[in-house]
This record gives sequence, structure tokens and C-alpha cells, in this order.
Amino acid sequence: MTVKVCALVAPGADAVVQVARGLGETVALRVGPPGAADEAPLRRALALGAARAVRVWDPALQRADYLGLASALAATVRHLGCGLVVAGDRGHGLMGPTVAERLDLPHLCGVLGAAWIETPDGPRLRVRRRIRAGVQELRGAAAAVLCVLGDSAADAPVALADAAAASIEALELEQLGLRPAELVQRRGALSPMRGGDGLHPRPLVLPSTRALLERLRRDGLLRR
Amino acid sequence: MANLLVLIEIAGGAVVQSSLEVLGQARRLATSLGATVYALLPLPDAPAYGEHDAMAACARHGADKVVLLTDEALTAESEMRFGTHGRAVLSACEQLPPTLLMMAATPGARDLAPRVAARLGALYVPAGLVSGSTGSLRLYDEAGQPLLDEDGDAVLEHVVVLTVAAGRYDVAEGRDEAEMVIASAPPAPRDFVEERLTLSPGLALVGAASAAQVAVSEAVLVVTAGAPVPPDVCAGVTVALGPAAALDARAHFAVVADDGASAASELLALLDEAAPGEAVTAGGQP
Repeated sequence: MTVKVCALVAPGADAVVQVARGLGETVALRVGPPGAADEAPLRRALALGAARAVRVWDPALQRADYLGLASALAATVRHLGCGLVVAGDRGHGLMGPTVAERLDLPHLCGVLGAAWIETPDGPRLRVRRRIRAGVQELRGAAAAVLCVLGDSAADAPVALADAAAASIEALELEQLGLRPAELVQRRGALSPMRGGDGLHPRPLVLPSTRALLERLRRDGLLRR
Repeated sequence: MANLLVLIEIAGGAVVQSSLEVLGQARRLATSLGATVYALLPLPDAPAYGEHDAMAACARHGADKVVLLTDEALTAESEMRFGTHGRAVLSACEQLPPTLLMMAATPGARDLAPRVAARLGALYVPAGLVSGSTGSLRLYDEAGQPLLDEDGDAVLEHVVVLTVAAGRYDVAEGRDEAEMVIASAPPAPRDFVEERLTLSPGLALVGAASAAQVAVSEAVLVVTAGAPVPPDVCAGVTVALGPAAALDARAHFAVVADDGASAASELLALLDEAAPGEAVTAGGQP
């Protein structure tokens, strides 16, 4: 059985493609306009072994918030027939859980790795993830959205010669059964105002490393 | 009257300190704006009032009402995530429609909060700040920049799910009692089952040349020794050590010390003393 896995790619997220390739035939997917900036992560995914690369775009998506973008990604995942999605868990880690919500699939954040295991009920995922206490291993669903930790902003060098020639498939919203107006519903979405009267967060200053230790204990970061 | 809901996280049988800080800010907002503060407290069973320290802590630190979330999934795993706590939290939101749902920005919240926001069709503000000093709720991103809508207004037209980093607010103190409410969610099949937990705190040490490091993006605790907090911290608590530690806006906690590297060594020694035999020194995986 070959599982089709959708990898939601972004710059500096090689781990997403690597985890996805370990789980099945990988389709790299990104929302973005035509052009080098948004196609570079897709080409990199192809260089790392993804079987296909797909870019979905409509000018209306420029005004979509996270719900609209997730709806576009979820519709594309369904269109591609992928039962498993791997996303990055960097920055604020928003898109993976929201895509999972749109797909009505379970999700896990903080993922370090995943593999298939055979069970009496068929193939299941075994997932390692980072939690506050340590590294947790979970067994469960065969269809899910896994949000992978790791990687840095700088991509390690990879030979891109073959990937440069590979084609990136482009999809439009109409091909996915979506109307642009459906994705740009929210009025009143918040965005940072530059130069406004803001706050100036500062750290909580503790008097000693022992006081810091006690605070870490009260935050549940120490078990004793 | 607006509902301010605060999800309280439990670790080691006690309320996590940063949850109490968020509760404190909710209390101050409610007092300014005329709102009701509900502390959502996940407990395996429904104890009588006064029998559980966590309920008393919520009442003492700002809750008008303590909502006991009872669901067998809540204690099925070592820490909360959407798969264990989401159903109960959403059930509470259905019973008590929130203007603002707040929780501490922990790894568990990172899994839970965005999905709850998506389910509610809410605005999601990660690691942000909120004030009510002007008579209305004002939101800020983690850098303190105000968040405004397309018209340049800060008036909220949508439900907001907000996570707050540790150390940003003071705990509210008081002797008030709080009404207890029980909210239960219908049982549902589990998506994943915890098979194993390997204790390992996931410490990343930045700026101390002699210390091994785990990737900052995977660390739960990031300690900087005389260096600024790096940009790719995802879900960790950040600690700045050194002469200028108090000025690092990205840090959650700071200890001012003449020598950051020495302070870091001292902290590592204390951590090892606190949890002997565990992989307390820098290392994210056993």
C-alpha cells in the first residue's frame, strides 16, 4: 500500500519533507503566487525527493486570513487524494492545526518523527513528539496532520539541478471547487499597526538562579 | 456581560504558575470592563468545593466562577493537547460563549489553542498581550505592537483566542470565593494513545561555548548566557542570564549576573541537583 502524503512546505523546513517521505509518496504543496520566492520551497522539496510539487493561488488569497488559507490548503489536499498531511511547527504553529480542522482529521504538534507500524487493525502511525516533560510516543490514527518541529531558517546545501527542471503544477480555486469570496469573509481581522502606541514587554527579573529554579518548578518544567 | 474564559493548566498536580498569571490579567480586565471571569479547570472527577487546591487557587487568584471540565480523556496522557482537552474546552465555550479565551503559552497550548480558534472561527493571537485600560479590550502581538483591524480600530468584532507567555503579568491576589460549575463533554473515541514518555527537559543553551545544545526550535527551555534570545524559539520558556538580561524583550525570565556563562553553569548544576539521574543537562532527546 502506497500512502499519499501531502507536505505543506515553507522555506527552511526540510524536516517536513523528510518526515513525509518516510511515510509515503510525497506531494509538496504551497499556497502562493507564481514566482521564484514561492516556488523555491517547492523546488527544494522536489530536490529532497518529493514526487510532485503543487502551488495553489488566487489573487483573492492575498486578503484571506488563516481560516481562508487553511480552507484552500485543505481543499487541495482532498483534490490530491492525500490521507496524511505533514506541516511545519515553527513560528506560531497555526496552519497545521487549522488545516486539520478543515479536514476533520486529528493533529499533533511538536512532532519529532513518525513511522508506520502494523497492528491487528491495520497500519497505524507511531509518532514521537516533544512535550514539556520530555519525548512522548503516541500510537493511533492512520490519517492525521503531523506538525513537525525542527530545522532552521538557513537551508542546508542541496543539489538542485534536477529540481530546477521539474515542473510545478499550478491549481486555481475553481479547480478545487472553491469560490474566492468564500475565503475572504472576515472583516475585522487584526494585523499589527506599525508605529502605534504599543507595549514594551520585558522579562520577569528574578533575584537568583535558585529563584529561577523555583519558578521553573511552578511552571511545571521540573518534576520535583 | 462579556465572558472571559481562562484555561488553567495542571502539571504535577498543581496549577501551572503562568496559568495563574493569565487568570490575574483576566481579573484586571474584568474589573475594568465589567466582565465575568471563568477559570476552566480540567480535573478527572468532580470534587466537592474546597477539597481541591486547584479550585481554591483559581478562586483566590481571580476567578468569578470555576468551571470544572470533567472528561476521562483529560488525564489520559502526560500533558494536555487538543486530542485530550479540546472537546471539553469547546463544550465549555458552547455553554459560556467567550469574548476572550486565554491560556498560558505552553507546548500544550500550542497544540490546543489554534485548533480551538479555528473551530470557533476566532481570531488567534499567539504569545500576545491584552489590556483594558482604555475602557475596551486592546490586543498586542508578542513584540507589543497593537493589533488593529482593517479600519484601524481595535474594537473586537470576533471572538479572540489568546495565549500569553510566562512572566508577562502578575498574579492577582484576593480572598474571594468562586461559584463552581461542572461542564462535561460527551465521550468520544481517542485519536492517539500514549505508549511511552521519556523524561527529558529539552534544554537549549545559547551563548555558552562549552555546553552542548539541542535545536532551539525543539527546546522547551531556552537559556541564553550573555547572548540575545534567538528568533527560532517555538514553544519554549526563555531565560536570559547575564549583565543585560533584564533588557532582553524576547526573554520571559531574567537573572542579572556579571557573567552569563557562570550563571548558566550554576543553573545547570541546580537543575541536575533537582532532578538527579535524568537527562537534565543540555539534550532534547534521550
